[in-house]
Amino acid sequence: MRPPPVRVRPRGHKGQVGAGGIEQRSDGALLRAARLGDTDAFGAVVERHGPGMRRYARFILGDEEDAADATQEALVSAWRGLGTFRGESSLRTWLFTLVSRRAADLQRRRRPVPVPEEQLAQRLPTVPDTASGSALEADLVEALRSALQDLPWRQRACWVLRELEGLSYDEIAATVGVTSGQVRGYLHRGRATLAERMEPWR
Amino acid sequence: MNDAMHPLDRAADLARREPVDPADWEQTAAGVMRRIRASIRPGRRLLVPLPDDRGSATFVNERVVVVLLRRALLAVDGAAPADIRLEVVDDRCTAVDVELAAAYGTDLQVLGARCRAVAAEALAVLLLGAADAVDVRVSVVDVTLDDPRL
Repeated sequence: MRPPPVRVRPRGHKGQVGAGGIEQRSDGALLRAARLGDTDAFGAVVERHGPGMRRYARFILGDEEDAADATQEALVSAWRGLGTFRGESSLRTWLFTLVSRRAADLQRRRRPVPVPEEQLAQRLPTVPDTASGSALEADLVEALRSALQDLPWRQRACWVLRELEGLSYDEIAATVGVTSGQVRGYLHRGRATLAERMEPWR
Repeated sequence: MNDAMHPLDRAADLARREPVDPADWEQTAAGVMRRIRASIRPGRRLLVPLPDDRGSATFVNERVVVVLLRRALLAVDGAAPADIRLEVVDDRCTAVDVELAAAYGTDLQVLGARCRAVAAEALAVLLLGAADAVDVRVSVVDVTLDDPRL
């Protein structure tokens, strides 16, 4: 009979080095630790970058549930792909690339439902005559969400990554899978359309 | 917020300041971690001959070896393990490949030798007599400006 396996459980080791906790460690250090199976280090990556990924997904998909799904799938695929990530881009850019792909998949799978014209008119947020400051602000952001959904996919993704997440043109190009020159074009056209759609809110 | 701003800029400004962790973020994050922990597969077992005259042996899981090697290597100043791979033949560990990130300005030869010694020492504690047959190979794959452990 084979002897039972030795059970060794390292106690109290969470991968911390020095005085700083795990949440203070650099992306590179967390990545190296996670690649070696440290789930706490990956948890810190999730907490650091996940909310931004979720916000990006929410603005480009326009749906909370889809955004949560895309973010969760992207983070799980990041864990599985840690061994293949060699740092050609920053961790943040790589994670945004993964969530962008998952969001694009979800978008493709959506079956377009025709909306009658009168319903469409009701769906578009209108400028309120009178509203309190905070209600007006909420309506303004809702109008932006609605306007974004009418942009072509890449224009929408480029605009959100640039204007809301602050990525550079090169980072956006890597995330969306286009050239930096194309990013400039998508941003230019996206901004023009959005500015026109938001004009009544002036 | 400046009312003279274009409504698009005002909306973007507000959107940027929206809380990035929605009410159900914790649920999403917990779901990610649950799926990740569930996806972890047990590693290979490694034979550890026990020091008695009856030829007894036991096993240690390779995941335990990787965790403890990493822990030992993190104690070396100026280095952090980037990858640790074990070669296993017939339940016996024959080689360990350690890839390191090193702090810029560190003497890489000295660092490599130090890490090799630390890894061999940790293996001797874990694998006992079986550690003698393990070829420990160390390579530096990344150089960082700051301490690679932080």
